[in-house]
Parts: sequence; C-alpha cells; structure tokens
Amino acid sequence: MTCDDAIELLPWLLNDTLEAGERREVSGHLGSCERCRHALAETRTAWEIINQHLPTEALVAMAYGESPAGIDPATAERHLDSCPQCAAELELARTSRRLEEDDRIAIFPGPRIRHADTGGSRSWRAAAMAAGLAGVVAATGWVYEARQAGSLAQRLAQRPAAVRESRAGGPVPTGEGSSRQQVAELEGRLRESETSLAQVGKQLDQASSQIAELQEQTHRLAEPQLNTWSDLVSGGDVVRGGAAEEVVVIPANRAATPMLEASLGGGVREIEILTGANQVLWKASGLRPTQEGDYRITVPPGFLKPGRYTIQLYSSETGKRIPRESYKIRVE
Amino acid sequence: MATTDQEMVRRFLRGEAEAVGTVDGWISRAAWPYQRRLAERWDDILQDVRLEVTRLLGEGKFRGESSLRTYLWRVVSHTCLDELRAQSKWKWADLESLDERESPTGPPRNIPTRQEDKDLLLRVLDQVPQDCRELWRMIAAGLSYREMSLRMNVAEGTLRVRVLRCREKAFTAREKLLGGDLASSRNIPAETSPKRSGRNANDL
Repeated sequence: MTCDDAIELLPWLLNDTLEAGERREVSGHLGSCERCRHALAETRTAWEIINQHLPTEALVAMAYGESPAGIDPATAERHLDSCPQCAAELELARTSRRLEEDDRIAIFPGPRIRHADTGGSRSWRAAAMAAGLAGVVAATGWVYEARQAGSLAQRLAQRPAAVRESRAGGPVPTGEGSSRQQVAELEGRLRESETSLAQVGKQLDQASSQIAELQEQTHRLAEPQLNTWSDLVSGGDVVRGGAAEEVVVIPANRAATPMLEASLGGGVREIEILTGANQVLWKASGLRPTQEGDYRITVPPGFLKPGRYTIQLYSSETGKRIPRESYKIRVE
Repeated sequence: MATTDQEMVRRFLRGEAEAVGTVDGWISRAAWPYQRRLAERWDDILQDVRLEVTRLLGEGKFRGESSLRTYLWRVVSHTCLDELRAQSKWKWADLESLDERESPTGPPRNIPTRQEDKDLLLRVLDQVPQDCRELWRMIAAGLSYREMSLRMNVAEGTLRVRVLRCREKAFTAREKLLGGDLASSRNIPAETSPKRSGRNANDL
C-alpha cells in the first residue's frame, strides 16, 4: 500500500468501517510511515474543526431570545443554517422553553399544571358573542321596521275607499285633495318599508346562519379536538406511551393539550376517554400523528369534570381494533 | 417575585415536600423534550440534573436575576444538551498502538475550548464548504466509503480524494484565520497531502 492510498483511507480507518484486510494494510503502513501517522493526526484535527458546534450555553441563550455571548451572531446564524445538529438542539431548547412558559400544554408524565388565562377559548367566545350581538341588533331593526310597516298597513286599511277611488281616478269629494296626497305619500312609504323589510329579512337570514354556524363551532369546541397544533414545532421528545404510569393532572377550567405517543410509531387512529368506572365518555377516530410522531388532542375547559380518566389509543389491523397505549389523567 | 423565589429556594433546601415537588415539576417539564433522545440514561440524567440544581442552589448561585423557574430551565437545558452531545460524540476507532507512535510533530489533538477560541473555530468552519461538512458528517455517522459512494453516486476513488481535499480545505481555512501563530507553533509541514497523479481533477 502506498502513502497515497493509506492517507485516503484514514477517515474510514477512524470511523472503523474499513474491511479487515484494508484495515490491516493501512495499520501496517502507518506503523512504519511517520508521514502517514502525521496525516492521521491531521485527519483527526480536520474532523475536530468540521465537527465544531455552537456551545450549549449559546444555544440556551438563543432559545431564551438572547444573543450568544462571545460568538458573532451572524456566524452563529450561518452555522445554524448549515448544521442540522445544532438546529435540532436549538429547537429542543426552544420547545423546553415553551413548555416552561406555557402551562396549558399537558405532558406525559406531567408534573404540575398551573392555572393561567385561556386566550384561545376566550377568542372564540368573543367571536360568538359579537356575532350574537349582531344578530340581536339586526333582529331589533327588523322588529322596528315590521312594526312601522304594520302600522302603515293598518292606517291604509282604514281608508280603503279613498285609495280605491284615487287609483280609479274617479271623482274626489271636495276637501279630499289633501287626503289623496296623503294616501300617495303613504303608499310611497309603504313601498319603501317593504323594500326595507326585505333587506332586513336578508340581514336576518345572514345573521341566523352565522349564529347557527357559531353554535355548531361552539358545540364542536365543547368536545376534545383531534390533531391540534400546539406551537411545538419539533418537540419530538415525548414519553413513550406504555411507560407513563404517572397520573397527569389537567385543570378542569382550562384547555389542555395532552401529547400522546404510541410506542410503535404510526398506526393509531382512534382514541377514547374513559371515566374512572371505565365507561366511554368520548371517542373519536381520525387521529393523525404529528411530524414528531406523537398524537395531540385538546380538551376544552369544562369538558371533563373533576375526577380520574383514562385516555386510550387504538390502532387498527386488518379491520380489528387493537388497544395501544393508555394514559391516566386526573382533572381537578 | 424574587422574594418568593428566594423563599422557595430556602424551602427547597430545607427539603420541604411541597417546594421539592414544585421544583422537581419544573425540572421534569423543562427536561421533557430531551427525554426520547436520552432515553437510555434518562433516570440517571434526571437525577444528575436534580443534584446539579441542589448544588447550585445550595451554593447560592441563584441570585434572582431571572425567575427561579427560568434559572432552572437554563440548568436543565445546559445539562441535557451536554448529555446529548456526549452521547453523540464521535468515538474514534481504537488505534492505541498507533496513537502511541503518532508523530510528535503532528497537530495537537486538543482543540481549544475557550469561548473566544470556539468563536474562532466556528468562523473557520464557516469557511469550509457545505459539501465538505456533509461528507464528514457521513463519515462521523459511520458510513463506509463504499456506502458513501453508492449514496452519492460517485466512484469510490473520486469520493476518497474528495474527502481528502475537504480535509485540506479545513486546514487552509484555519491557517487563513489563525494566521501563522498556530502553524508555526505546531510546525506543520507545508505539504502533507499526497499528490495524486492520473486522476481527473474535474472528478473532484
């Protein structure tokens, strides 16, 4: 083996993937060649250079939103763009940070869930109230217009003859000129009211459909939501399902997003929430794994009354439902 | 808030169950994203984190510059990231017999670890082409040159020379940034890479 051949193979001598014969030859050559031993040391150094990563303290600082101390921020950013390992580690630190900041996300096993505001549930409530208010305003307007129209109709009914005569162009009794004018005016107002009434009716229809839609949304939101997104972009590290003997505490008056993992990866499609007495309280199918391989649902506030429950996952094999991981939760 | 945190620290160090439980809850929550990657040693690592937290709090390292919970998050993140790196660190092949005889004039094996040196080395790395880094990552991932050549669809000889050139590029980048100081102190020969003949440079 020549020096050229030996030096070319050094990286794979170091990562221990040379075949036995090659390894013997390279090692034998190195034993007798100082230049190649020097090249071996250089190969190690080159790897150390190429294997540079952002210091962990820099990653922690960046996850906290600070500039990394002692490192040019632009260099750090470029490094993150080109180093999957550092990028993944930073994302882990960021996920950890989000969990530290947001107690609404339940984890398995979860230590404590503390109480804080539920901005999410408030927003849809506000939307529902706004839409409801719009409906009430529209309906009030309709009632007012309808009353006006009814009143006009009554007044017109009291003067049928005058109207008929006016329309027929027959003789009008003396002193009735002003009445004819009044009737024409009333007819005009009646037409205006009819037009207005039609518009209000349309608005009412729109408001009603909006309210119905919001009621449906409200109904849907009152139940756990499947496949929810919880702002954890790549927090792929969750507890393996079967290992979670611990009981996770979920607050009764707060939305919670348990992240569930099936130990064997995909295949989980169905989910059930069972009461302490093992009765099915809620079930759904269509569960999909996130990019990180876990499953997420969001339990709305108030859906689960205080007590103990079990979240049970199921997969389906040849049409048969197979129980998978189960998670114990306590709502309080 | 700071007073509350200090009180929490005092209660934690006194071993009050509620405070210990709260702190442990914060630790578990912060450590949770790392659990899968550190699964094999998870219990030990969690215990290490708890010991480290107890040590730091006991030594009065928490000065209330941030909330206690944030401080703990930093400790947990540091520890877990360090563990991750220790776990994925490339294990050199056992070449003890060769190492003993390695050239005394060869480059030092110790890479600087001080912050400013880290910055410097990151800037050196910044100069190394991305494809070179990818090649060396594959080597670190334990791929043989045959696997790499198949994956990249290049001839084995071409691949080996390409890796060699990348090694040289890393050195060149370092020399450029570090200047002559390190080179002279280490007495690096001007030319250490083999000259290949009969190979088409365009292959590289």
